[in-house]
Amino acid sequence: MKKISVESLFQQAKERLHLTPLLEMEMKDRFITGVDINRMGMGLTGYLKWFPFHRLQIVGKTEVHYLETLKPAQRHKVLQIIFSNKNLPCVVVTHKMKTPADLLAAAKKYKVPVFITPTPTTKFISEISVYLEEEFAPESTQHGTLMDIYGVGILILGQSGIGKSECALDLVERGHRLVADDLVYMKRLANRIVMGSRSEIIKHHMEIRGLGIINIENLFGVGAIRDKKRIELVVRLEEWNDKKEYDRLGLAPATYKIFDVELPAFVIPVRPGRNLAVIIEVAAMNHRSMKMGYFTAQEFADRVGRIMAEESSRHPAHRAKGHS
Amino acid sequence: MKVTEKLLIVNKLGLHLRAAAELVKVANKFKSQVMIHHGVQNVNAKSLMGLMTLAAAKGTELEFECDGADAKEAVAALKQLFENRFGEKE
Repeated sequence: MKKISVESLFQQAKERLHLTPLLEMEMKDRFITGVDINRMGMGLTGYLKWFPFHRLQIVGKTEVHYLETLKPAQRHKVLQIIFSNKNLPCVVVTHKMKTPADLLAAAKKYKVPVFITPTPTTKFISEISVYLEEEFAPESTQHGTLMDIYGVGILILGQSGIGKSECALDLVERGHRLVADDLVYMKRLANRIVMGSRSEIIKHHMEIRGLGIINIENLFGVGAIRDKKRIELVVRLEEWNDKKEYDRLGLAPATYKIFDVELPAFVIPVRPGRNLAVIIEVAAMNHRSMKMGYFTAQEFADRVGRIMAEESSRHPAHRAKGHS
Repeated sequence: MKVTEKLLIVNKLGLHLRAAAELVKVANKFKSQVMIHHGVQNVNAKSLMGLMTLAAAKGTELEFECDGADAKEAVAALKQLFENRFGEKE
């Protein structure tokens, strides 16, 4: 199971989440193991039967005020129990509340990192949840090329040597943007979004057979690249196979599954002289037009149907003859 | 046919650009699909850029998975390449 250290949470998100550590503390050996967080709340009353120690703990206004109402001995006891748990990752005090001395003492004793943030509790919970959702999102890599074509993220798949990179180069030439070539990093975010990005090592380098390694950013400028893009469409390049039936109508687009998300997919047969860049460009435009509610293949089918109906109503005799 | 084999990088510089290019050349000689699994990464050994993302230094063990009619021959050729330090002196 994936886990992230409190140290890396702090380093990556201190600005985004406005976190300031309250104690000088080693943060490398405390870990967050999931997206769920916990408001200490009822745990402070001493009811700890279901207390999720392993989650990031939040102390808000209510908690601080409640602790003040407790007798010192009782307060000390419950804080000792909570903070002595080895699985406790860290504690965040929200609303910039004045942190009770007992709480800090317990944190110091058991080496639990404590942060303070000016953000109100509910807002902080939603902000950190978004961050953790991203961190814990399922990840995977895919051999392929990812392009942003007219604002549509298209993942181009196909066997090594089929011409994915050449096709991408063609598309860049036409003014579209390269996200990743050869290896695409994918993340499954909330709301069924599959986000694709490039490798930190490859960046926007590309290998073109016969030329070697080229740098798209260098040659075409920053306008020709982007770092990440949501994948909306999948195009698979395949060697032209005479025996295979290719989609001629586009009435029922196939799908390609990434994680648990079904994305519309096309198989495009490759043959010398076929301009793949144009075909993929048109696939992107068609996808946009469909998103805007215009389904070309269906409209076309309906139109033909309408004309046929009109024709047959105009010549009832024909129809009768045709049916006899 | 599927053949898997773990190969150890023994040359001094590791799987740097030139070595990776040699590896791609060898992998492309075969019809089989050649994949490398390394930790959470899965890359195609026939693609140079994919190999670079491994950033595999000396002492790294890479798991090869060859799938196809000539998988056995592919693994043998790859094994030899690794043992020969990608044709490098050290």
